[in-house]
Amino acid sequence: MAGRRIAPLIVLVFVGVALLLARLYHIQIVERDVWTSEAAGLVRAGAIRPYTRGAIFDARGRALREDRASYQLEFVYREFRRAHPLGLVAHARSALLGRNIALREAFENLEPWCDELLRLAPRQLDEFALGGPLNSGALQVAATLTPALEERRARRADARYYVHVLLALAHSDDASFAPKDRSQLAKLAADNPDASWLELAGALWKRDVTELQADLAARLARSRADLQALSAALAREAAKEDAAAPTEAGALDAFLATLDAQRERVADESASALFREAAGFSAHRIEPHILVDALDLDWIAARLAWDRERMLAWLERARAEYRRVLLDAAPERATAQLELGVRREDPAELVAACWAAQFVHPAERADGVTWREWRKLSVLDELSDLLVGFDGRELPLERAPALPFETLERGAQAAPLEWLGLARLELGASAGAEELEAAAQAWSAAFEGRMDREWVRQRCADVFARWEQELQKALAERLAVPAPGERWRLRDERLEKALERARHVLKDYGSRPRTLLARPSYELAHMVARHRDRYAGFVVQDTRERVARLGRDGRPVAEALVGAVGAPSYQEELLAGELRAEFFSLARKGLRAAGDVEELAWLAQTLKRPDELRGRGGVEAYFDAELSGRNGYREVRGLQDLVERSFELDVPPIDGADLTLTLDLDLQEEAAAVLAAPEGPPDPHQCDYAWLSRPTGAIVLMRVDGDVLAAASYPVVARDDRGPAGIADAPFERTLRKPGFQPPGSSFKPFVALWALERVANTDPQRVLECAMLPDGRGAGYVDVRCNVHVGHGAVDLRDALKRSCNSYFAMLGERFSHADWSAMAAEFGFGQPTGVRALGPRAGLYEDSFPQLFQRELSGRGPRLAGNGLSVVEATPMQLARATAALATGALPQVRLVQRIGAQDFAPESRPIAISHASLEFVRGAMVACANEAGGSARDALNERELGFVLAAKTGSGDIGVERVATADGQSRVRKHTWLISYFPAHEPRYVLVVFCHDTLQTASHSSIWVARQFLQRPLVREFLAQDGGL
Amino acid sequence: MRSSNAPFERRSALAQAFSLRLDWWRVDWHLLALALSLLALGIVVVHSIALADDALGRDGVDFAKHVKKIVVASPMLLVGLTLKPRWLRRHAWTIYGATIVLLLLLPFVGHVRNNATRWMQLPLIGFDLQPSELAKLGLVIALARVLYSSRLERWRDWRAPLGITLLPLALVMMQPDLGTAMSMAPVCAGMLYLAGASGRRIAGIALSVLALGVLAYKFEWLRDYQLERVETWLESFGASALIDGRTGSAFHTYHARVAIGNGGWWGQGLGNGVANEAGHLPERDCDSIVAVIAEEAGFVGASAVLVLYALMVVLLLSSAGQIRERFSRLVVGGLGLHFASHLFVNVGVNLGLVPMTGLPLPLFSTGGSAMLATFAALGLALGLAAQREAALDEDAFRD
Repeated sequence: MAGRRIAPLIVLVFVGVALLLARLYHIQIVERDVWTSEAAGLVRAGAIRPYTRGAIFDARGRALREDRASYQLEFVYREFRRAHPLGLVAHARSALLGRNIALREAFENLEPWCDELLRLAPRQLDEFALGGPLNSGALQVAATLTPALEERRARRADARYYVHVLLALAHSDDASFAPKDRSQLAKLAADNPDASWLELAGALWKRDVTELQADLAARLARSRADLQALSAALAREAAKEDAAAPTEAGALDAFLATLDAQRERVADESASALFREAAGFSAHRIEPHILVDALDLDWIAARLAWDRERMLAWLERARAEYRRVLLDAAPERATAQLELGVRREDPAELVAACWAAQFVHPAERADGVTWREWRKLSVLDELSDLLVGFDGRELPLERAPALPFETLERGAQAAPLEWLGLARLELGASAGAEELEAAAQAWSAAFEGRMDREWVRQRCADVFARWEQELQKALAERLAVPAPGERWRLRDERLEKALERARHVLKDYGSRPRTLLARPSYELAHMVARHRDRYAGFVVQDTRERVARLGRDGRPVAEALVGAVGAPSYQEELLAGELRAEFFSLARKGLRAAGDVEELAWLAQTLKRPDELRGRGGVEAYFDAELSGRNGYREVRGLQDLVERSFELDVPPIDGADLTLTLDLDLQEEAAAVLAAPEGPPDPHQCDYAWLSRPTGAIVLMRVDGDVLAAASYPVVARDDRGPAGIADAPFERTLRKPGFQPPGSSFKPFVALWALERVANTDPQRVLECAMLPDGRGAGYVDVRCNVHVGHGAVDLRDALKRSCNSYFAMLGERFSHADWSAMAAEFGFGQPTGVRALGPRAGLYEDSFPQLFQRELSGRGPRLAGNGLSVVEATPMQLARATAALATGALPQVRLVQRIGAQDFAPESRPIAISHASLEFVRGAMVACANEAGGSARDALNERELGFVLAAKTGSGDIGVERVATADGQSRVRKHTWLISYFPAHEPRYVLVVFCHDTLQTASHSSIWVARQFLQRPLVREFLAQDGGL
Repeated sequence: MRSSNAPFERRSALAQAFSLRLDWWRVDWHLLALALSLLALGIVVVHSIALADDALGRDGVDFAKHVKKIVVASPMLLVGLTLKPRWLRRHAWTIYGATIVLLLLLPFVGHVRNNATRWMQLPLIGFDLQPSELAKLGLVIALARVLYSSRLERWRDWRAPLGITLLPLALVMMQPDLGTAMSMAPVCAGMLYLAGASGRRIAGIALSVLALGVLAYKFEWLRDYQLERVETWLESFGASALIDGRTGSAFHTYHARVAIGNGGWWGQGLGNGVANEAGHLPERDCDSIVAVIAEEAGFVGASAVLVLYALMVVLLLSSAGQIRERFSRLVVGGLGLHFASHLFVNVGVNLGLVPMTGLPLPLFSTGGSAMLATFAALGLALGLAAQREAALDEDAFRD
């Protein structure tokens, strides 16, 4: 019998083993390549090795911008909660009371509350877990009939943990608690269930309870003092950055409030993650009042010990953040996508797709599916799968169209959308025909040529706001409950799954470090890093940052010109998306084909990291390619590599090249300082107070070979007040840019004179013109151009006209210029042309305004007369004028140079001779010397040799920039203007060019720019530089 | 007088339970050597896992703890070996009842780990006790006791064995612990067969249960998570579907499959391979230790281990076949089936032949309770076979 029965079982065993072996063979041998490839992907750990961005130095090697190792103070809430006495006491009490206790409250009651906790006995906690009451001093919890619902067991476990850590009865980073100690403690607790934890700890450690209490009291006192010291240190640091920061007296309150806010943030994020886990979509996608009224969220409230107010606070915060993203980041992203697709034949389709994409379920946006085929909306179409209602009712699958695009013809073959169709989509069915037509035209215009980015962004934001409103309306209807109090429930299995993960979610979000302070002082960092045990939860973390040298005004030196770095734009991220996907695909690929490793290395070096800072404006942006290095990539494969620290693939990073500018830090600082606090003429009646009180302008100091020594603009930040003309000027780089209409005025005259002498037939410098009153009696002038002296200059020749800046003479001269003369003259002196600072061709950043077409226009009527005076029909930037002045001073037009070296590569100065005779040049130079040094010269008062100590050749200029007159403090009414000074020095052997530009003045250059120039040239550091440079 | 009698009574009780005058030459040393070899292999594998964790600074497997569990559990081998068959038969219900009480106590004193209430803290033994592991032994002993006096000739004879199987099975399912429950059913079926039940009838019942399962799946009578688990299992037969689902419910299956598939013919070598290096494979020192073995020893090595394990099962069953006394034969046969069911469920899960569920592989996995039960089972099997209790029942005169 036995044998008969055993044998079949043995046969069954053999059959089973054969089956197992067959399956083993299939996986290990037949499918081997698949799994080996997967395994290779799993054991390979790759990491990008970031490069160091190149530094930017001034001409004397002083760093203006550089990447530097830094650190930041971070806060890890979980660590604080589990190891810091304040966190332990607050959370133990929170766990027992079932509501959150604020840290401030816990701080004030630290010792008594701690004492109440330690006097608890294991039996008390056990009874509490079973629903019994809890009484320990002021710690009173009533009994309950529903301990499971109140999660009493979990709360007991939490509280016990905190008590154990307070008494060093649990293993932690700082204290070891051997298993035998744990066993002994359990035995002690079992034998003496009514003994307090304090007594149990005393028995375990064989120490007197009072001794233990004294130790603990000392620890609490120290932790209290440490927190106060930390908060005071943080307040001191904050005060350096912000005068409105809390004082040391209020520092502790502010600090504890910050910690509480971090705690709330952890809870908020955990709640959001739990909701997402349970619902499959984010809580912020539905308006808080709809969500709270329609959906049963008690499970979150129970898990996080929240009441309705706290729940609403979470939802409101999450919703506000989502709305910010929807109305700010989402339109930005859509605009970036549209910019990339702007050349498409059917841009209206692309716009509509971008709008729809924001609202459809992510699964709909699969590759190869057009937006016309998208069916399911986010959230709205997910609800029926997620919710069960009262009495088992389920949401119907069908619904009415909620968003306008759902009413359009669907399917891949639908006729493409025209602008009118898009307008209808945007404005809705209620819009009138005219309104639709206007919107369609506006869309069409926005996409003509270069896309009108800002307009499109704003329209996208408007559409998102409107559609979101529609969606919320539809959600409210769909989630409507028949009676108050009845609510939809998430499906049990989803809830169970979410609650299973709750502990991990809380752990995860609580463990994420949050930056408390970037760049703490050394003292603060040292205090926290040295005493990690006393500052549990606070971590000093190494980072790298781009550091800008700060000027005397506390702002980065040459902020506008050198620029800054910033995070990648949406467009850059979108463009990088495909390559990045390829990189990750290769990095994950198990078995790599030939060439894969090379491609991976190439991609790692080519791709920019998502956190990589890129040049945003100025030199940082223009030379971004040079300043940026190439990231490296390091890959370890398997245990051996990890242990031996060897690498399967190791592509070292290549640091970015350093840039040496031609700028001199001292000169740049002095120029900025002068512009920030300019001085007017000594005679107060001569001062242009309107400008002096609100200076806007630029200074360029350049070597005659084109090297820019200083290029300062002011203001560097937006001013919230408006100028005398009621105009608020934006901060702008003004040496290369022309923010508005910018005529050079009389500073253009030397170039007109040179061209006339050289190229305009029959120009006789001795010829005299009578600058006299015009027939209308409203002042002196020529034909219709008024001179700057009301009664006129009388008889003037060319030299006098230059020296005294006679408009009548140059109006006459301008009349004699042909169309070809204007364009040729501009070309010869570089007006309207790039100056050469963008030496590497067209790139983003370091923008300068060039406008060659301006000088190619046919001038007629009054035009030539105005052009002769640098008014109305001609414009220039300070850098263009500086370059032209250098040509005048030396006879060669230089290429302006801002960067003299990139890495090891030097850029040599370049120039070309101008086709102007020496005699003509000398004539004009003489007149400019006279302008600054002879009686009647417009720059003499400020820039004569006696004032400066050297001879400077100069020409002033003022150009009206409007026609309306502005009332000034002295009761006059004047026209707004720019004033200029162009100059070079020393006059006998030119080495430097100085150009001063004052924007929005109400008086001429003699009241502003010449005094600014003098102020600059008399600054000690400028004098010192010029002396050392051999210029004087 | 009472105090002087007490030691005598204790000695008497011990003497009734244990037989120290065992015929050691009758012990199946081949079986013991084979079992100890498998145990040694397991120790080596766990050591390599612990070394990998240590090298990578992971808070993972503690080898010393594993050794400690073996040391604590090993006396159970001697206990089982020396236990008298008669005493065991007499106290079968007590043992079964004790394990049921432990299972019933779990919801009150057990603690939750991995969302299941399977463990209770017993400080003295140095690890948490998993009563379901002891319940498996209790079930084998109780079934043997019931079937000792029943030949299952009538349908009503089936009620008692099925009842005593369903009780622990239901309690274990409630923990929930599907793996343990799945290992109990074949033990019961096998023991019914050994006791004389019709093979056709057992096959019929098994097929009916299978058909019911298929229908439940087809008509979605199962709960969503159960359906999801079955679907994941069905999809896991295809490599690409399994890879696609690797971050979801197929996470464990995927990593077990990768580890096994990475082994090839000869394996990656001890301590090497994706299971140890990446550390993603859950329970690689316990429920999925066979995946580590397959990866590190390859098809050749893993096949050898499976064959050796199967050989141990065959030796146990053969040993049962040679026992004349019905109760002992049923216990030893049941224990053979216990090892066999663990082998097939555990390895089947890791190979994807059975839906993912947790079940240790005795002698290899690190669980303390499993180790305790394994040593006790092995000791009992060896001891009952060696003691050759005299029997006068009708089975003793067959064959």
